[in-house]
Amino acid sequence: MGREVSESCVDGLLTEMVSTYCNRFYSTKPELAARRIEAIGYQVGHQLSERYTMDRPRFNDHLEAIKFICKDFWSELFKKQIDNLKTNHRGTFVLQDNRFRWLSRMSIDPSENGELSQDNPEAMAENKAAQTTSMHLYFPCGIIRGALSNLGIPCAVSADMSNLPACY
Amino acid sequence: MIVCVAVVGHQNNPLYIQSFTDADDALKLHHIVHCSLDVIDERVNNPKKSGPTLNETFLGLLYPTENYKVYGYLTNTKVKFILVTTDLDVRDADVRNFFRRFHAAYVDAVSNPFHVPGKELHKPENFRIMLSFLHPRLQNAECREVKGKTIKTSVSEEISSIAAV
Repeated sequence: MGREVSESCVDGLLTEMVSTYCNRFYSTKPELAARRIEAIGYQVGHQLSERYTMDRPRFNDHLEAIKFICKDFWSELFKKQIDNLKTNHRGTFVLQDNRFRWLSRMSIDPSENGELSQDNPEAMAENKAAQTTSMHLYFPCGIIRGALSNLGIPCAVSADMSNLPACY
Repeated sequence: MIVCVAVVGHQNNPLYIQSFTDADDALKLHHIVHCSLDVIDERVNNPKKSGPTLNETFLGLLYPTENYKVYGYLTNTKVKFILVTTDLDVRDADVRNFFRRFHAAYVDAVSNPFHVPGKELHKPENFRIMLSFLHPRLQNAECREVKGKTIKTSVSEEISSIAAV
């Protein structure tokens, strides 16, 4: 029987982990912080994939494993399935989630960064927001990479974010 | 009676092997487990032979020897579980059930945040987790002190009672 975890706890843990690694441990080396966060995600994904594939038949090929990631694994982690899966049939897969749960409650206060640049405060704030948010995506990337590696697919996972959740 | 269980990693590296016999035949059991790896490889690479068990995690009876029957199980993550038993008429459903619970115990053991993936599971705490489902009393603190032969015999009794069900 699955044990459940409070969602706000996970959100809080993720933001705290990212801010600790980025601002306290490796405040001058964002790449190193990203690598460490990704490594934590890798271990989590490694263990989760073992658990979530327990009652399933074995996968025949990579596509089946990717489908598992898109459907079951994604639902377990993010309570929804992937919205769109694209592939070039040469080993590259693009998974699109239109409402990524772990970012759905994130926003940046523009006034906070407005003073940094007098010329173009808005662009600056947006840039800073994108940077901060991308730090939060290394952990889920690591989870996916860990899960796929454990299923026998060594891979690289990167995240791309078009825009932050915002009011329309 | 179950005489031996083993967990073998995806590169055929032994992760956990435990025999439950009092006799000094650990080497023989290790040999049996080692041989069964080839059978598993064969089953997986030539799925035609195994027919309906295609892609199922439970691989069924791998091979019978004079005294033992060897069963196999292959997870999605290419980790192999091997069971050696002396019971000659075992129902497949029982073995399936055993492997399912063993898999759950294995998952719990590797979910320990201090476990390094690919490393052996021989540490006492892992041992306890792995076997606690076979022997519920091992979970209790009072049994943590129990070591060596006491655990072995009590566990083997427990397993034989499970296998007999």
